[in-house]
Amino acid sequence: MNDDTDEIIAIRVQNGDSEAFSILLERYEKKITRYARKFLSHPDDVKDIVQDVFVKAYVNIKSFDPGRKFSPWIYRIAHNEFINALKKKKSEKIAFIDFDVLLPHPVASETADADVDRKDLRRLLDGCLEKMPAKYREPLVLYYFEEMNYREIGDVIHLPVSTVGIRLQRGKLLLKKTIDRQHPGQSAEIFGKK
Amino acid sequence: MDNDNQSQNHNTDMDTGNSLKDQVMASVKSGHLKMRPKWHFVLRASLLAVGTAVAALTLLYLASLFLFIARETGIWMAPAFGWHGVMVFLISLPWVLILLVLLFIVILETLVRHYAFAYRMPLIYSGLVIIFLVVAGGLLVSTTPFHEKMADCPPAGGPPPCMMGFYRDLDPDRHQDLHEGTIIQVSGQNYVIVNRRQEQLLIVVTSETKLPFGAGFAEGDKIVVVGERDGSQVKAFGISPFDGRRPDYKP
Repeated sequence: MNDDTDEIIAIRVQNGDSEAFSILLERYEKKITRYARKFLSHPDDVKDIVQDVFVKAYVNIKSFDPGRKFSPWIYRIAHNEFINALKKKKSEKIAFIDFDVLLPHPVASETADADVDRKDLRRLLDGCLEKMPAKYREPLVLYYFEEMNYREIGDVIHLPVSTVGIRLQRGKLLLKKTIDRQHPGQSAEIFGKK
Repeated sequence: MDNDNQSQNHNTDMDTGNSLKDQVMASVKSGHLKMRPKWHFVLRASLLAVGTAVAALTLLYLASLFLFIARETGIWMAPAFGWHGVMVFLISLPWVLILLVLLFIVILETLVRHYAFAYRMPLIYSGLVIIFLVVAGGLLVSTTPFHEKMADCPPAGGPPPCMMGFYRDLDPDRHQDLHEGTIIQVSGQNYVIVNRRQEQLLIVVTSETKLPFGAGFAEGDKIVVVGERDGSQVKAFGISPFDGRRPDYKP
């Protein structure tokens, strides 16, 4: 078991130790695959797309700044690959400009009680994610499954923190409506806690 | 080798492996996957920085030129004469220049959104920061002799960029019903002015002429006049002083 941080391993790869890349692969394969399965609505080619994420990560590893965290860097590559995959499939509309990004939104900061219902929400999200628009699905996946904070999500999707907050808020509202339609009363158990 | 080619080669290797990790590492070991050199990313970052700087400087040039033209032609004064003045103002604005300023604001905004300091703030904030810097920088540059030197042409014309491109917007003929010049003679309530083309125009003042900033003009004053021109005579609809800074024309 290698105790080195991701950043140290990335530096080793940058310096020519290609074998060390396998450690990063081990650490991130499951995470990126989960991100892909939950974000992409066509899981048939997930393996190929995730593979391309790691190919791009290796090819571009020298663009990684060791002074920063490795995780947002590889998730950013994954985000770009997934968006390209969605565009290719033309199954979902990806807006060129989004008005959520235009204006500031007053969004409550992340609170401890948000973590309380995280497990329950994760369970509910699993069944409803594919019915949600991509712009709400992605921050929900990164927040509830990849356990990133608003700032990290913003760095992955290149969005202001307040926009991440508003998309999570709207995504949760959409989730509540979907659950209410499918299983009346069930959402109150989760959302009623607040 | 670009990413797509590397992906294709990698997919060939993948047929022999089992897990995703094995497949990727097989491609790495076989040499099909190669890291891009550091200079590639340095070059890309430098090109982005240079592109951003060029867009910012172009925007600064265009914005300061717009402010310079607006000041030197007295366009700003026209709306003070009511609806007729507003129409003259709208017709006389250098619209191509304005559209280019807007286009470069969009280009600059698109380029700076690649940087964390910009994408971390709402679009409207980064847009307002750009607009503020452009207006402040433009005002600063427009007060320097830069555009005056670029636009200052001898009466017979001069070498480029004399009155070329956007500087042609300083030409009196570009502005319908808008005339600016220096008073060379006060004749009763009328004035004789000389414009940038060294033409002498008689400004006829009537009881209907609007004088929102007063009427006490003297020889040497610079004025802007809105009114229909008939030969060398202009029936003034409105007259206002203005603060054009280019040197006076010697009659």
